[in-house]
Amino acid sequence: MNPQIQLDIVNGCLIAGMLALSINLLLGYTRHISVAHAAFAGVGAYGATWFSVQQGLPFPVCVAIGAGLALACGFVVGLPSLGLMDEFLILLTLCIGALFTAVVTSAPDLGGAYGLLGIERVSVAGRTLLRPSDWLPYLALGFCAVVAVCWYLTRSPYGRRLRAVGDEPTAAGALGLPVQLLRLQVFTLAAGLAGVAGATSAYYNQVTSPAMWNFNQTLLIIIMVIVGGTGTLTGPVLGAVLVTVLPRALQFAGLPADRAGTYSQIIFAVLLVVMVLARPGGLVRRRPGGRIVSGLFAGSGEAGEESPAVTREVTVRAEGLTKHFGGVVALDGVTIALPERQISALVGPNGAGKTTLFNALTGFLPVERGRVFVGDVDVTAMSPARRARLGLVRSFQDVRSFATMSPLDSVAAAVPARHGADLTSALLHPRATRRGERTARRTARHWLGYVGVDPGHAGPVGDLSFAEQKLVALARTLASGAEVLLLDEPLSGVDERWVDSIMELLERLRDDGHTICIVEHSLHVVSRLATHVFFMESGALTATGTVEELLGRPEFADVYFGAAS
Amino acid sequence: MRDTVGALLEGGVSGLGYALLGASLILIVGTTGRFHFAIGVNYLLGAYAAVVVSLVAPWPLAVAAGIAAGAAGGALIEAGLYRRVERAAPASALLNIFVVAFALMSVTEAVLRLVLSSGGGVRRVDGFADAQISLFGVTLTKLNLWQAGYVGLTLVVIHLLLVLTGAGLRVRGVRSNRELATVHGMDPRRVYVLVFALGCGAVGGLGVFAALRTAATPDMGLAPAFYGFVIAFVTGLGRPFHHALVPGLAVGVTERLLLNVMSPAQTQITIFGVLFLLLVVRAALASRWFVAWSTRRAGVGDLA
Repeated sequence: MNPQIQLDIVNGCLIAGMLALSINLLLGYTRHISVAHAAFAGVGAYGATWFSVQQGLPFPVCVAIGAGLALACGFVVGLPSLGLMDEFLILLTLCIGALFTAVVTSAPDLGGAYGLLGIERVSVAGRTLLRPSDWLPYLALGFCAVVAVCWYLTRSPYGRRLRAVGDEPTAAGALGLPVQLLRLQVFTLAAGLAGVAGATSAYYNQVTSPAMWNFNQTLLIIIMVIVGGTGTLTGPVLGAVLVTVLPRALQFAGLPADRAGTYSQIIFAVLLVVMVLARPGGLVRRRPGGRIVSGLFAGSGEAGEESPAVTREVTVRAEGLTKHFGGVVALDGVTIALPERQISALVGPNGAGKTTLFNALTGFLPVERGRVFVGDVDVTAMSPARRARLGLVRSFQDVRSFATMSPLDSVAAAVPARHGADLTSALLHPRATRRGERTARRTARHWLGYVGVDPGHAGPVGDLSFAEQKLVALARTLASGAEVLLLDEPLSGVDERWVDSIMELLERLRDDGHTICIVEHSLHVVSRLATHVFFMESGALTATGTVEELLGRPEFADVYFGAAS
Repeated sequence: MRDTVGALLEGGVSGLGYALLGASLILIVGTTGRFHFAIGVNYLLGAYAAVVVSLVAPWPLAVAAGIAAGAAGGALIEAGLYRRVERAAPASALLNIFVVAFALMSVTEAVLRLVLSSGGGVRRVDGFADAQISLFGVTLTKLNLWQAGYVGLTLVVIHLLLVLTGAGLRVRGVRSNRELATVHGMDPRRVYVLVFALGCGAVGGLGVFAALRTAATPDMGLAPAFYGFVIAFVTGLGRPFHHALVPGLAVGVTERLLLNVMSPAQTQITIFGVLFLLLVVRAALASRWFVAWSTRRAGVGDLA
């Protein structure tokens, strides 16, 4: 085989690898999908080509413009859609893909169905890049740059937050992580990286056309990632090699180019289905529970524990909370103030509105009337994440673990934002990032030790017992800096032998200065833990007092305690 | 004036087709949660089944064959593929099913191109001759009347099936609350197969009408899938399926009227742009911020 043809295949793999790595940020980390990825690459390609042909701008400027346009498109598309159901995002991006193809196909200035030709040849140090061998070092350089960006995004403390968002976005939001912002940043960056690949491809191929960036191309990019392996850096690259080499191999086997393309399309689609059924993680699987943040961002001396003390006195109160679900009154003007540094319990029959009240207090459910205050701050209009950052954090009945992360990473992800946790600070402030990461790990170790889970456990949280997962979730909540904990049935589904230790833990937390409110059905648990009980019925708080006081009132015993005991 | 009425009626017929696509997807996605983008495959199957049957039978039988092929294809996709995909990785089921559906579209198109290599896979349905009919001075085509009748009849049949039969009750039960329906002895897997058969059968029939209008082509499934999904989402997946009539008709009529003043390419871009904006508006209405704002406003209204 002609060496230039071999190098052309290598160059094709490098460009495809850039595209696969960029969409892998979405599919493999924040776990949402864009079907407009080829369109974003196309925006980069057309942008670069148009400015080269029409304005005669040099290669680096055109690539930068193409990438910038793709970045801007990613931002504009991501902004309205990322807080929504995944189905909406799929459809919106489908729409963008269709719109892009329709526009470039029908615009005479963009060459119509035939695309744009006549892009200026690239010259480096007076040497024009004509042959694949001329391009190889520069494409390799570009590929390495994309790998470096992706490595930074996924192996820095920022990457751990992305993994948390991908694993369990609701829990991540409840812990104070800015879920939508993280998703928007990654969506925009992925579009920008696709734009770089598209613009580079336009220069390399000396043409850009609608067929190069249509839905089939998006499907191929997705196939690269799913077949190669999501959530790793090597998997998508392997997938890109496979998808690039196979059609060429079929051509060398004697098939005409169009037939080879069609056979490849069938083989890839079948391969995708087989992989999804037989090996959902892809050829190169991510090791669950493996360390996420690279040692480069942590440095040495990370052992030891950081014992954060409760410094703030946070009070939580609500006035007149009202919520209806259709004709059902879920909350009927509930006014409540959680007793500080004590354990209180919210009790009542099923359907009384206890979890709804937790949802309303933490911002997961908007209310029709009423106000919620954290300290003196009116948080009624704030998101759950902002309320969490003020110290009000909840847990869930169904745990919602960051199932693929180790307990240490799972808890460290919840430690409030510090250097390295945002997009750029690990680059701009490396020393502060290392300090921040060491602090996060020490804090995580402290809270895991506090709840009695081995911080050195190497496997994923999802492999732990249900009770241990609840403990990790509690440690995660504490690591977020929560002063007020709303714990929704913290003992439900837990093996009997764990009940006493969890109750002791809650008592310790109270003694350490936390304000805790639990939803609980067990009279035994409420009697032991709660100094104050709120009784709910049909969405209203109908009585408060100690357990003994409430038990002394037969109407409550009939409605709730009688049934529970 | 008569031209405008004619154009409106023509757009209305296209719109009825879009509405049936949207209604089918409301039924399928709203009940099963599967992002069945491969609805385009069912459209294709219907069209090509009609092409084959029309070689040996009259065209009404070809329509029936198209419906049957769409229904069988849908049921097979659900029972043989989607269910397994969900079982293989439940946490990633939405993404994986969408990707598999996308791959099915791709593989079906490629296989058709290979098998029917002559003429790029384009095939016509034999035995149907369209003709113009004049009603109250407005000119219509016979095919448009048949298509309008087909859509109307299909919507009525599906509605009656859901309302009057035990199977329909099970569909409504699973659609409303899958877990509770399971507790009451309903098998969601069977219900899923049923709604796939119903929705995909209806779409298979539409594929036949598209083939009757021009011809069956290997790439004819993508646009209907796209239009169907947008209309289903704009309507709302939780709504009754016949509510898709309004957005479907609106899109069809708008598209036809735009063709009077724009080129087909410009019309397509405008329609895609409008659909995108509709989705953005729909998305914004479902966003946390809007829900919180509207909930508060409702509360203020109650107080007033």
